[in-house]
Amino acid sequence: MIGKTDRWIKKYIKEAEENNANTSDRIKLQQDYVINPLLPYFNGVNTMEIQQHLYQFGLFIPHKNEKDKIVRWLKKDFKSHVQKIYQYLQSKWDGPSPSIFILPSNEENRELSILFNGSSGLSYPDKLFLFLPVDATTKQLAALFIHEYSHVCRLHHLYKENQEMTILDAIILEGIAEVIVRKKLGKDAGNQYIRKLDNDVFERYWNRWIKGKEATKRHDHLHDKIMFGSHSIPKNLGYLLGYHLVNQYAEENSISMKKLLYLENEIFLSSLEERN
Amino acid sequence: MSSYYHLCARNIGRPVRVVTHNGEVHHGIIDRVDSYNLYLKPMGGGRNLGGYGIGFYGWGLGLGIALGSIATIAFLPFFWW
Repeated sequence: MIGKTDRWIKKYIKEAEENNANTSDRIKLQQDYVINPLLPYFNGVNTMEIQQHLYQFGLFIPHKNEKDKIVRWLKKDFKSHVQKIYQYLQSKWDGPSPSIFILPSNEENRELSILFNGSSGLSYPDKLFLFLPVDATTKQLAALFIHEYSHVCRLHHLYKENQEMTILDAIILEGIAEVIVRKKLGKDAGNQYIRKLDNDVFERYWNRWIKGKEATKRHDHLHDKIMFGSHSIPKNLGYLLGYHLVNQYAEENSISMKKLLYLENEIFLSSLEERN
Repeated sequence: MSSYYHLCARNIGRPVRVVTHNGEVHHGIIDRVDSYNLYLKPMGGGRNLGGYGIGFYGWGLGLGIALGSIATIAFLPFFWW
């Protein structure tokens, strides 16, 4: 199911412009028209928490001069492109049917614009969010959708509901997503922080940050530091390591993307041990 | 010293939207300010609702914005964060 986010955004911008709303009022209006309809998809969480969380992952942050951009965004037919690629991947990967929400992205964020083409996303076993800039190309949209939908498929197939995920789960999940994006769309697609690491660099990072910490839980503060980086940890470290690990496995083994998507973590780990 | 120094120093802990002369926009909570830079920390602090993204997260940690480059600072409502 693709949510009617275009209607929500239309109502939001109409209300904001008619009332000549300032930034604070717009943030509140965004809650009313765009975030509240999402409440049924999150258990026991309030509107502000959802809004904050989506901001962290790239949802547009309202401001006074946004009208032209939002109006242009609404004229783009992102929905039908997503529908096509979704149907194709769902049958190819025997994938589940998540709720899909397509929303404008935070184009004012330089990091997001430069390294992620202004596109970002967020996925769960039962739902996924696509945050798109007004000028997103079909290829950028496809790269984002493939990445996020691969998460939904793997989470849905391999994990129990409410199972607590670990850092190893996240590293491999992200590695698989980026390898599939590049196989399908070419090396220039996907997260531009990701580059090939030399084997010795990979090993150094792995031994320093992951070895012995594989079971670190999602809620542990170290989890996100490893995934996204911090003052002392390289940017997007978890993504870099995951890409290296999964890509090496895919290059050494002739394997379909579908098989790769559902391969157990242990298989990737044993390939790593064999190399050492 | 930039006129923004005192404004920021008086409002540590408040969420802001900062626009620089070259058009960059930053959102965050005023963490500290020195003679040259304003440092924001990411908003949030709410519960982590999980999920998996593409590698983009938040508004950048420990961001320093040169006081001389600031065009406008708008304070955001507290209910937001």
